Amino acid sequence: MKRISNIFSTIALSSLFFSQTAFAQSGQPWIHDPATLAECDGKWYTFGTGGGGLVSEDGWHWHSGPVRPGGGAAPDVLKIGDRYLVAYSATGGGLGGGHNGRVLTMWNQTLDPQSPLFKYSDAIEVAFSDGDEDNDAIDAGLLLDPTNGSLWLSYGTYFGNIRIVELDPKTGARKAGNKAKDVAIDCEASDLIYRDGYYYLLGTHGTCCDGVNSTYNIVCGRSKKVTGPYIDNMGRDMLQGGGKMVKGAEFRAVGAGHFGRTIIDEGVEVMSFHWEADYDQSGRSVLAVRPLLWKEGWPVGGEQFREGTYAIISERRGYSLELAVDFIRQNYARQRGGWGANQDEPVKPVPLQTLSEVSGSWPAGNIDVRVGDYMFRPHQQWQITAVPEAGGYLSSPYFKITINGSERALAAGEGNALTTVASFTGADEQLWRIEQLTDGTFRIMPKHIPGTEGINTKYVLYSMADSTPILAPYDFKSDNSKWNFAKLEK
Amino acid sequence: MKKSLLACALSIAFATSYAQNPIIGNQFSADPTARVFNGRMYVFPSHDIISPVEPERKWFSMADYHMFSSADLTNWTDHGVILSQEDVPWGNPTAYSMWAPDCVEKDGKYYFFFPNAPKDGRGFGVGVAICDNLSTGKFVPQKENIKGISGIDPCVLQASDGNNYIFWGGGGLRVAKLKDNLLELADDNPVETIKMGNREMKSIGVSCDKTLPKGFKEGPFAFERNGKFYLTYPWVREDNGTECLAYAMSDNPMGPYEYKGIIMKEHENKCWTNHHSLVQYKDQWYLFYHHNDYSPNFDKNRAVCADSLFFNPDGTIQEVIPTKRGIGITDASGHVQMDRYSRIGGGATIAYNDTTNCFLGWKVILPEGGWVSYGNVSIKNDKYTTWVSMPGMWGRSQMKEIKETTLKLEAKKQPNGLYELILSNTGKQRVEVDWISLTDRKPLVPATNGGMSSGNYRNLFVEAGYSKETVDKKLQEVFNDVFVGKNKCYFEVGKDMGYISDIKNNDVRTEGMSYGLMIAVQFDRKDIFDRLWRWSKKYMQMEDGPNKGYFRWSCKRDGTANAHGPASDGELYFITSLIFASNRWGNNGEINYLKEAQYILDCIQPRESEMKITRGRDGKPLDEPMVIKRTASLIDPATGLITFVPGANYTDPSYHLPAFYEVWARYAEDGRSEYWRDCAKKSREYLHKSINPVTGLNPDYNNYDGSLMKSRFVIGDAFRYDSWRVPMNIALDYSWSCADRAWQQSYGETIQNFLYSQGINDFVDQYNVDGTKPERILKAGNYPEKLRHSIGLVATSAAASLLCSHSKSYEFIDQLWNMPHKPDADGFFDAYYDGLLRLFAFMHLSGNYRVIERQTQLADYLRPVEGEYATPDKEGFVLRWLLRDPIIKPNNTNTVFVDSYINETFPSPITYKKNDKAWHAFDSQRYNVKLYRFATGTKQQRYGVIFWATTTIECEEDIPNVRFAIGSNSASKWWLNGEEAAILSGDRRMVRDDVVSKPVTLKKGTNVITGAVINGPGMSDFCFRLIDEKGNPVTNCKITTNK
Repeated sequence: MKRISNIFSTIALSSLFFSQTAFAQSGQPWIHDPATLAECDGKWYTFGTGGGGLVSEDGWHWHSGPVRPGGGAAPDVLKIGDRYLVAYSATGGGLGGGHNGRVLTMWNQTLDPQSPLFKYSDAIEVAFSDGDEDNDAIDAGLLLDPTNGSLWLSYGTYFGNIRIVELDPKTGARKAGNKAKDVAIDCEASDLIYRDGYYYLLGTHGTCCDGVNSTYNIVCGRSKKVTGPYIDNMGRDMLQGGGKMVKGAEFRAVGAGHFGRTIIDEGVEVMSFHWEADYDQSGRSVLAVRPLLWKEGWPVGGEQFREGTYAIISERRGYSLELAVDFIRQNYARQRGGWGANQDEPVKPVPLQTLSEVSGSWPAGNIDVRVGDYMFRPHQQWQITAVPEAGGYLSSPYFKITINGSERALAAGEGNALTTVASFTGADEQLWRIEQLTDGTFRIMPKHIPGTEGINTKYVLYSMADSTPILAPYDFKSDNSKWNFAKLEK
Repeated sequence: MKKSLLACALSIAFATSYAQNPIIGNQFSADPTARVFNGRMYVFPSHDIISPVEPERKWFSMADYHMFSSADLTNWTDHGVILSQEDVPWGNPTAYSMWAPDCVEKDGKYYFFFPNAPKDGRGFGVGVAICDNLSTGKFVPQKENIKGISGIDPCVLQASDGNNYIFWGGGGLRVAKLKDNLLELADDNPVETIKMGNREMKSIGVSCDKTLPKGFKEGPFAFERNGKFYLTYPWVREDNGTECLAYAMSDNPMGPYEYKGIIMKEHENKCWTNHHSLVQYKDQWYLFYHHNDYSPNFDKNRAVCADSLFFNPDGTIQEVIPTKRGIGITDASGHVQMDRYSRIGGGATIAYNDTTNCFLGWKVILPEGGWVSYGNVSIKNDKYTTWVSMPGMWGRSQMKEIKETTLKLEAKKQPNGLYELILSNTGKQRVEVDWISLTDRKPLVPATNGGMSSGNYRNLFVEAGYSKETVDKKLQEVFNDVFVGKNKCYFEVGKDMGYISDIKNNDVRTEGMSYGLMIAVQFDRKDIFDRLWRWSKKYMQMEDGPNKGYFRWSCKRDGTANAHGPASDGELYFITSLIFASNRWGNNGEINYLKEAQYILDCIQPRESEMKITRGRDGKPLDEPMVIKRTASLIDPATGLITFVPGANYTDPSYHLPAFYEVWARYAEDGRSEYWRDCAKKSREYLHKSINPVTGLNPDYNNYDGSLMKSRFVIGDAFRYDSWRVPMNIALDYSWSCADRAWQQSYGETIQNFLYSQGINDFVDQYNVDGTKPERILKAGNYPEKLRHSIGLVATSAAASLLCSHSKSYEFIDQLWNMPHKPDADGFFDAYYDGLLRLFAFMHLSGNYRVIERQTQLADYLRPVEGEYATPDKEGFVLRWLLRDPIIKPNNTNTVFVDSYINETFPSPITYKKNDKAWHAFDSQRYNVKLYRFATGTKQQRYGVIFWATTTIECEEDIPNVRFAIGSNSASKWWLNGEEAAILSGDRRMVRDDVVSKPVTLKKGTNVITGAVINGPGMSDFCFRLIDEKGNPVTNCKITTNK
């Protein structure tokens, strides 16, 4: 809501940031109002308010580079056929004092400014707002309806209503005679998505551009028709302020805004947005990518996978991933329960089996893995640690998965086998991509499989049988592909 | 295909050329051959484009040639396309192979030599196109290409021996003698056997590179100087290298040539090609060459540059170091682009203003201690202020006086009397500079966004130093001159009609009537608008027949028809004015403006009608009437351009107002938005072709392709009365739409420069489009035939200042301001045409000629209460409220409305006293009471205010356990009978049922509910409903504002 006065200071600040040291985790992801992520020639692109954007070779490490003419607020980009449609607004949002907004669209064959094919077509106006009406035609969101190939644009800000219009997917122009329809009140940075028979309108509520005091938050409503009405989980129309929260704040980051959804695979989705202020990055406005989960037909913003010590539990059986070594009994006498025990003796904790108690018997070289009863024994305790220098993927860096307290690392082997190597070397087959699926479970994928070419994006840790893990093609429909992480602490 | 190229050309931004590199700033250009004809420098480059077809997309692609010229090497004129690949009889029309050309003059004719891919066969041929008159800029190609030449890059050497030699590239560099007709190779040329790959073939002429160091060569340029012949050429001197420019000398035109050295080294950025020419102009030699300045990532899209070149006494050539500064003299009072520096240092660098559109030029980035210098500047006025334009966020530049910055400027006198400007940064913070200007008045900077998108309109009078109050007063005076004063041309008829008369012709024209409507709606004069419209509709609009819906272009002052046909510009203004009236005043009154506009829009579509012809050409009645079927429409269907009159096969440049179509596209709601936008685009393309690039003048009428009609029947080939409107129309298009920014800026300066050259106080009102005096002077009305310094043209040319950056514009503006509208010496006075144009220009230059946007109507949100009581709606919303005029309480954010702030700001409810004028009773038309609309609709402060609302609920019995369910934007607090009931604190948005009160009891009888809503920015509103303990609406009560 404070957009008018503060958006400039945000932008001005972010231009200063470029000259400063790179953030170790993910480059320089400074952006406001990121467009939905778009893939072009194996790279990810997004555009932001003001003109520039971000590009990433791997989805994790972001830096500036993309170019977009027209400036203005909150663009969106969508690949249609072999071209990219960019929607943006050069004006409005109180820029120049008023709310005379225009949404324009333009095409480009590529998003790579270094490509000879890189050339934007003439921008054409598809929506506008007079200075005083209940709408400010900026903040474009695009949807290509997968059910019928029609193209829709939502736009608007806190200054009145969010509107939607239909565009021609061939030209990017407004469909002849199409009239704008109001679908929400007091939102900004809207976007439309479709899933399983419902259209979802994502809007951003609250105040932007006020640093750590920004209250921006992403809400949504859904409708069976793209033109609405968009109703929230309480049956409230978004035109009456309805909206179910998708993402507000996370610990140490506030002001989620400008939603974009990216489908990576069946059941693997992420949402992109910005934090108004990231407490770990000087309170800057940064790009965030988080798993997008679905719960009973509603989108739920997930959190990044966090480092820690975990048991890795199969969704198939509930068994735990472990080294294929002897199960060593703990030398601790069975205690009687309620009936013959000495009632007066105080209870005391049972010490956990330690690594040193068992590792002596383990072979020195590679040790295979299997899945067995979860008993939090040392050979089932996995330390999961980010390896930021190894790059990443949308939402996270690669991880190493080592036996807790040792350097023994889970590794992909030739022929889609699994093993552990005695010591983590940083090799690609020892790096793991961990992604939360839309149902809340995870898939676990080696960066590389020996004997194959390049980066693996297909084979995941897979329960071939209850106790036998292998690497096999990811299949969202099968619990064999899915895993859960149980934190090894009370 | 052609269409897409045109569209492409139109989109390219044109930075008006200054004396610097690249010299051509509106398109890619390469391979320049510079020639001097009639004391003027002409440049014939190739025209690089991004190929519209595969596989050439990543290769060189050239579909046509433009010609450029300059008298001062500073201002360059683009003469437009002189030859296209479609026009070459022997060429492949889709080869995109119009490579490096040359042009020479012989016996008053201009011979243009160009390579092209032949229709049949392989490789390249060289053709000739001939032009009789460079000002027409049309070159007619020969049927055949030159027999015996297979190659590219022709260059013709007109030697002092009286012979003409042609050089070309193809299997090395070759030369042969031409016949005197310049169209064929001479018969006495030697014939050589040359090797092309593995093939041996006979070739006429000689290889002139046999004696030169080896390495790839192309693009020969040969000339003669002091009896010596020079062969210069691009040369790849190193393995895997790129091209440098080298030269060799000989005593004979056909060699043998002796290698002498390098003229220009390889480009530092690895731009692979270079291609050049050398020319002497006014005692100085110049090297023209190219470099990919506007396409840093693709070196097949190049830009022509020029630098001075010097010979040693022995005739050898000094190496030329390419500069950004280039050639020509720059006027300090214009925009001096420091990024085109002569020298640079202290860590200063340059960068593109916009990396997505390199044609928008560069900026210089000056760190602490950084400096940049720009030489050969003329300073005509010693009294100046130094202005600095600094690029800002989102393309919004900031202009400051240099003393407000950390910059310092030194103007150092050069030996040649010109100045070198040295700009340096003494501050710690780095500074970016787009350009500087040394002027007494603040430099003019054309808008970068049209009013249609920005809502902003410049007031050039204020920019020129006139006070806002004086300008407003003057504007009203000029308005009164037309509508009120003794020389007015507006006359009211009866109680509800009026007309505007062309007094000198004693009639009423659609032109004047529709202008009057436009002025009335601009000035918010509904009374005048409605009178004029009623008159137009009653007397002018045709009810049936082939012209149904159109307007008779001329009527007598009593309404009798003078004509039965329309003139297309009237309809153009009628429609636009009606749309504006609809936007401004709504359509709920007596006249439904939008419906009237839509009716005309429907009627002007192509319509077939039958025309009965009863008389022959000789004027005698026919035995049997002839019936002709014709399809007429306002817009010519084939070209998308407005007709002179519906069905005519020509148009009038002054009828072209592209921005009007864009207004229709936005607001007419006639389902033709795309069509109108397309018409706007075509109209702009047409204007490019209709205007003489050197003078900026256009004819009164012309063909749809922009060419002169040269008709025996219609006098319209010169710039006369109709044409005056064009500068103002283009200014309007720029000010509203800004869609053709580059060309229109260039146009504005061109026409002002032309008129200025005729004398700012003396320029006349009729010219041929090339600037010469027309054979025939047309008279106005019955006044004597005479060339005048007409105020109409003074007005419209001043309006063109909206397009300009040069300081001359101030003189145009001042002239209009100061020039009284009074009779000429011979009594000539045109209250109508001159008067209206003068008023239009004053509107334009004061920022009062605008796109009238749709005004929000309060009645859509809140209406005065009707009836004694209302009830809650079926969801329990209370919609009847007394609203108090907003109380000012500035806050620029909503995040400060914490509980304690609210409790301190409004601790207790204020009470409404009957008949207190500050309170207004409304029925909300929506579930939410839109306080923002209450503020705007009653013209009160909308942001940073507290709104109070109160209402009375009457119950027939106690209703216990009622809760108030409230949403508000932003924070609010609510009371029931003086007791606090609910608080909505913090950064609130309109959310239905955001907060509910504790259970309350609505007593039997009256219950007073009062609320206060506070907002910073944002559209304030609230919704308030009554629910029971189960959450169901409570509706069994009555609401009144009368208690």
